[in-house]
Amino acid sequence: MSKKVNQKSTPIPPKKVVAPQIIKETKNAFFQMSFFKNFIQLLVILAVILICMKGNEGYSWVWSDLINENLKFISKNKQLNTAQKYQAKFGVDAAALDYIKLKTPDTAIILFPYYNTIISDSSGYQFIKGLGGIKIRVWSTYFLYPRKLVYMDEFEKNRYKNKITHVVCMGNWGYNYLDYPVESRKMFDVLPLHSNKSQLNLMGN
Amino acid sequence: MGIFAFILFFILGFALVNRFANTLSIIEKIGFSFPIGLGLVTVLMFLLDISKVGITIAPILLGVIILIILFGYPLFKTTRLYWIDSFKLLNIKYSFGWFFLIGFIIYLLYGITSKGLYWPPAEHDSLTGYDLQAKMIANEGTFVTSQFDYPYNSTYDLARFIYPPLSSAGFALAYIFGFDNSKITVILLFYSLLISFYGLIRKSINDTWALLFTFFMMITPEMFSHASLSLTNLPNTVYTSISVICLYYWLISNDKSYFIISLSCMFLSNWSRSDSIVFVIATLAVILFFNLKNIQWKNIIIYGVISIIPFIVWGLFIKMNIGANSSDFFVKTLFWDSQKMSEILSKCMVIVLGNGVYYGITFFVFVAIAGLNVVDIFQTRNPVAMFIFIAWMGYTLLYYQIDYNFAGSIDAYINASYKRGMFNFVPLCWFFIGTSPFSIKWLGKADMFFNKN
Repeated sequence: MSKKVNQKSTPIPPKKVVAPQIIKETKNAFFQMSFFKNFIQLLVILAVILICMKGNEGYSWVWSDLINENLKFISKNKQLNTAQKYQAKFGVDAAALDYIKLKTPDTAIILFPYYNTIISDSSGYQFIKGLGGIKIRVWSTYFLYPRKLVYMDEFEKNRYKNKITHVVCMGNWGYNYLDYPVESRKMFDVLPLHSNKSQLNLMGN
Repeated sequence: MGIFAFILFFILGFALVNRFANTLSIIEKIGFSFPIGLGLVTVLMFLLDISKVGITIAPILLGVIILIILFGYPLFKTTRLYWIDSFKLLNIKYSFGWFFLIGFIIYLLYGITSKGLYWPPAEHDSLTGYDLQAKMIANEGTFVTSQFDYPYNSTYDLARFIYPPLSSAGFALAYIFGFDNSKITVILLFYSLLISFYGLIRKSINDTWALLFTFFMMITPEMFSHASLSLTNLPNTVYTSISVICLYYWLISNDKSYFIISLSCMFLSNWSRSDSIVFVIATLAVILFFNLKNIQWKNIIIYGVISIIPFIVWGLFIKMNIGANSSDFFVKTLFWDSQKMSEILSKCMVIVLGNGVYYGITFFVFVAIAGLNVVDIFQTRNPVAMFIFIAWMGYTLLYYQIDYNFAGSIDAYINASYKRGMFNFVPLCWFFIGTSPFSIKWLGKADMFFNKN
């Protein structure tokens, strides 16, 4: 009975292809070749790989940097959390966004300064000037999602402009939008727009 | 939960492959299962979205389980003997070299997997596109995410959010099912590429050589590094290369299983990137030219129509829901600008053959082997070689047709987008290198030497 089931379920052998086939001799031994020839073939393979690895900058990079350096770094820094890893990659931009994330609820709608204010020295920090960084709304969104962001450069076009709940203050920028005085101003901070947390039109301030 | 869900996607793929392409070897079936399972789940997500059910855990799991029951029915009848027989049928020829290569590959995969899972997504295109979109899909349950609520000046600002959804949906699945890091999706697709490639190339050459070519394909520097990144090019490469190699075996063996896998993967290739439309055109040209005396019009029509469905459906979806159009990036009329053409060609050649930093020895060896087989390529109309030449020309022309006034500089496109798009050709080049008549002849002689006592 069980034999029948087994016969039924035996897989169909793969069809032979017309492509030129290398003759495969079938022997009972686990290895098809003698120990000596196995060893010779292994040496040939090793030699080909070593020549390529040594002679090509790309493969050397894979072996030393991509694999071994990363494995070393990982084994030494197992304790890092995601925020710390981002800070290791993006420095102060990631730290600033992590700070904003910690100080605002998921539902926050946050006003950010102008692009030029962020990258200028007056912000008090050396934010990324090249590709990406806190100066780019979509980049910051990645770290702050599901919070909504309103950047001053696109303020008029942003549909959330009338629902802002928090303001990112950099240098002297931003404090004037708050409807309450801030006695100890920091170079970088994120603060609620209203002291009573009511939703008011920013433009009305 | 996450691992359980991804195992289910694999089982779904295996059920489908086993049902519709049963003549394949067990290695091929295992290799194709996750890409096809994942691809189908992303299509299911799209259907859930347009039917307003929403992309959430319950309907996805329910859909996957129903599909497994529907297509996996023959699997439930299999016995332990089925699996033992399946592996016995492989008749793998072990050698010291084979074990060394397996060990080396496993170590490198361990390294790249550790890197991928340790570092969260940090690539600019991912943070400002694919992975952000994935987080939004997972949280909002739709492809029309709140990203589109923000102001934008042109389609260029939305570029990474309007790509066909396979990659971002695949990343979203990781988040939906509880992974912290979406790169698990790319890593599993990369494993699948290696298993598929080995399973396919070993049909033509000895196991040890098959593994050696798999190894060289794997460590292509720029491509290998992408196995630990969350971008769209490697997923796209997995589908395109499986599709084209299966097309080769279908054309030379007429085994329908390969036709089905090739068509499915080309469909999913277009579901992952719009520029795959070039590969559809190249594939149709290959089928057309392969046998001019007996042109397979029916298969050409079936292949062409089915594989461009994602291109059309996704184009309509973003047009209707977002008002964007990915064709905005291109000059829509044919034109001749010799200066632009020569600039693009020269920059492309520098990327491809200028040095071996990005692709190792891949393209150098391919050019050499193609040169040694040039007569055979024309005489037998080798499908893989034909595809590489036609698709490469089409792919390069695509960059000629881009409107750089709208979309940015030529340098930026060639050095980033074009460079990564060339991944599609890497597995195909290594497949050709391993299976060309010249290689078969000399590898056969080597085997004769090693096997003679």
